[in-house]
Amino acid sequence: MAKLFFDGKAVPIGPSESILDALLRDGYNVPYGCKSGACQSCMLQAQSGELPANCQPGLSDSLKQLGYFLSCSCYPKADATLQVHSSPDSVQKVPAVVKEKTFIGKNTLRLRLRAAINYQPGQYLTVWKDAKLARSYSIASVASLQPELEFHIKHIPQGEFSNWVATALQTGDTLYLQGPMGTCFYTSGKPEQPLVLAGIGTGLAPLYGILREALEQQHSGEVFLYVGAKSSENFYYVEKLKQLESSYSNVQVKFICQHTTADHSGDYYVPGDIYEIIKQRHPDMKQHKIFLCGAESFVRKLKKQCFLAGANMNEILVDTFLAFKS
Amino acid sequence: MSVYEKIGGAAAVDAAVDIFYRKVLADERINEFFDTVDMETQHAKQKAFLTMAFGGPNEYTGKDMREAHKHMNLNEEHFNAVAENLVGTLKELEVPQEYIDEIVTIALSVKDDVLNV
Ligand code: HEM
Ligand code: FES
Repeated sequence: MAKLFFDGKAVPIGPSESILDALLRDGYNVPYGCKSGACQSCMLQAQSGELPANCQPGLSDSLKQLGYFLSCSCYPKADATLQVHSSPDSVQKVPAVVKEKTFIGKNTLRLRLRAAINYQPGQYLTVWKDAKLARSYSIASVASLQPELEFHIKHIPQGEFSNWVATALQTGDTLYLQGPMGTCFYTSGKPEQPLVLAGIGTGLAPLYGILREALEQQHSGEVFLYVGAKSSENFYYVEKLKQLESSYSNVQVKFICQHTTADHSGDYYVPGDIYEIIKQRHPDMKQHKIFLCGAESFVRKLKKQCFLAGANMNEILVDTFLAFKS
Repeated sequence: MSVYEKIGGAAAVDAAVDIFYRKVLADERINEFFDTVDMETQHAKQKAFLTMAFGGPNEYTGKDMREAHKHMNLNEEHFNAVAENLVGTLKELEVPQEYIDEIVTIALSVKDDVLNV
């Protein structure tokens, strides 16, 4: 008989019973709708254990990789032991030591931390200053390439957290991390698929991680990276990206801005509107995998545009930077 | 066997949802209803819609359908637009005409509830 644990507690499950039915019978209040694998309202995440086939219909590759499944359609194998969580985000805080803090752009800080965390580049972590103050940042590093976690933090002088990082935080200090969370990351399995990565501002952080990870995994399809900014003085990592572009023939990087300052002119920066440029260059996105990172308005507008250009909803992954509301 | 099972059940909903949602978002007659902040949630609701329209399992009653659509003040034209996009989607997926007819019958059966008449 299969063994099922829900938030650590054993739940009896019959031989031809779905996980959803077992949980409901045992008195858990799990949401569900169709009970037939269509509506996805019964989705749960397996922390460990082997999932049976056919319990992840319609889920994106990243959700599958993270162990998400539809509990109404999941009939565990007789010999399986499954650990299932109700709230995958409620995880413990892990200490992290600051290894480096540098300005890499006009208003952009790079923070490198050492912590025992498994992650996918492009996911995000919540970074706690103390028990009260925290912000979420996306991961720009690839674990196999550098031992430290890397975040790109926009310095906002009135911002409580980023200003504290900029002015007070020291190398050697300890922070606390929670996560990782998010599904905006590269998954292997379709090495020839064209990828479109687009972000504004520090939306480049997760995209940089995703790009490096894709190249590490020998992605052979074309990879288009679009980095947008209001003004060219806000760009960072330009040299690094130029280098990647010249080392990999399948990588193309465009920096797109509304205003170019005189000393930043030259053919590397493309003046114009990031939405229009992507629309013109990719009229048909049926085959593409798309990663969108940045402010909510940007992600929303471009997501709709890509979807209408034919992209499959499951192939559009987003990392939305929510403005902090005090 | 229900038409939902005949056309492939949940897999048919999966195949149809992107095509249908894309049509609806591009349709000036009705896209204002669907163009909300959270595309993911809307996408899931399209699945609920399709599952129901295909005669699949659903927990909704006529009263639920009235409630869900009440605040939108829908009229005949809105309903026809949704029905056209539904039929267009099924044709694109090469669903046989007899099944399309069955699905249209199901859609018409909830029309009064949806329009709150
Ligand atoms: C063929 C007839 C129709 C059926 C079977 C149907 C079915 C459904 C179902 C099952 C839901 C999900 C309810 C929920 O879980 O919240 C829903 C929601 C919705 N329907 Fe319909 N519907 C029909 C016609 C229409 C029409 C004609 C329109 C407008 C042009 C429309 C607009 C919407 C909208 C905007 C929602 C989402 C409401 C929300 O966001 O809470 N529907 N519909
Ligand atoms: S209840 Fe609808 S997918 Fe499981």
